Amino acid sequence: MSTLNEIVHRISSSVNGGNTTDEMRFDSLYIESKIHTARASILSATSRQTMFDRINEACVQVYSVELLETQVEADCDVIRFPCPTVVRLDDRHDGFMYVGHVNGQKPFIRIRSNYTALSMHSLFQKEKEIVWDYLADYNGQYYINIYKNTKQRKLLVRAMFNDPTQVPNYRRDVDEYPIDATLENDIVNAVVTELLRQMVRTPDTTSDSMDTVPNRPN
Amino acid sequence: MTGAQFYTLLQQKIDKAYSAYIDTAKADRIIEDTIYRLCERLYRELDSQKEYDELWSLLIKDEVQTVSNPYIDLSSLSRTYMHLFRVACTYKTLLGSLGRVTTGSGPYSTVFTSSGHTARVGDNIAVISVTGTVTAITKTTFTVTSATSPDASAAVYLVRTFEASPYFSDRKRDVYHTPTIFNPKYQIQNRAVSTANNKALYLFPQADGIVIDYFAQPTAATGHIFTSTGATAITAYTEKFLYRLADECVMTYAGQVRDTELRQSSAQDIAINP
Repeated sequence: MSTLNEIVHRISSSVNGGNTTDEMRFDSLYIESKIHTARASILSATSRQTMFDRINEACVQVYSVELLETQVEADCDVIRFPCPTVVRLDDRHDGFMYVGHVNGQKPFIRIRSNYTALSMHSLFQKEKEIVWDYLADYNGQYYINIYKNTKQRKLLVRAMFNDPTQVPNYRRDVDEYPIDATLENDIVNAVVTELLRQMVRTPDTTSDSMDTVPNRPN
Repeated sequence: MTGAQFYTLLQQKIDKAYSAYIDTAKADRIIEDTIYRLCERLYRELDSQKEYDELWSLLIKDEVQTVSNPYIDLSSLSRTYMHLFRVACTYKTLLGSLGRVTTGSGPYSTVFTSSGHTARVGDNIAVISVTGTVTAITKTTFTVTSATSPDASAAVYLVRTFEASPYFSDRKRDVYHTPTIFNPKYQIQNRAVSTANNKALYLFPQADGIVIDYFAQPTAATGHIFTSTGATAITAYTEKFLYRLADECVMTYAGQVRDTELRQSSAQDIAINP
């Protein structure tokens, strides 16, 4: 399939009559952000229709992470692995497909959202299996929190992420963007439609603190 | 066609009433003036292969330059810069001072150890001045093939080149216009040093090198500006271009002597044989 750059050029050439220049009205990064959000929206809408179907593996990314001892807080019951945000599929499901042992064969159990995770009375305190949760922190970062095993240092994650370029081992210049051909077509159509809608309005290129539209009296 | 032959052609095309006033010195000035104007006009109309063919000797393609500042002075290019066609920026990304084992005797094969690396088959790798290509990867290693043996401990760099686009720092201020190494931007600015003004190409972010296509100025040094007494064949232009140039020279001359009739007839010649 295509790299992110190739999709950007598909879109930019579509709104420019099949030709591209290096002075396009829309920046590449702007189109990229539109591609990411369109992908998440379409994935979410599709999975709501067919929640019991298999997710296409082409949309899934995998990465493993290994913490250094200096990254682990001493005497803490929780081991935290940084993880980019994942797409929301519906009000109960998100884009995580696998969180567990790096051999890919041993998924850890996810505790319920809003669970009283660290309470002495929590049900999961009686669990013997490793459990995990996905939480935001005060520093604006998101982490997979691992409970019940303070020696955990390696983790394998398979998921559908909101911004695939944020996944640590993703090379945006050479790696395929994580979508299948059908989804690529849907994304291109969605973004092109949105850009053409924006192009109906003449851009304000006059810096006069007003919404000055060229060739039109204000 | 030589310069002297071109001068004869020019005399034939100019009204006999004026031909006595076209000496070789005056013809040289008209030729130089007209070459600049005609090349610029053709440059502005560059939209088909035909025009590219005519200006072939002024089109500089894929010139590689090393960059060690946030800018590169355009005077450092191999030819006199006039207009930009395209710029691509080369960036070296530090992979680290990785462990390595080199085998072979040219080509050399070096296995670099790096947990969590993002090297891909086909990547270009540089160790000081030795460059090689990634031919195989595993989760914790990547193998590089190179013509010469890389240094045993020096830092390893991933070398990548990305197409650059113009930077409108005075117009576009949104966050999406921010340059990155994947979307580098360039801007031609003045770089003042004391009283000197240098035409410089600024690169954002600062690059390690550029690949540039540009339109060069016609110069006598490279045979683009010729004299009316020249005895050597003019090889920088096609014959068709030279005949068009003769018509344009007549046009220039007619403008100088304010001969409306000659100006109109030369304009018709140009329209018939563009």
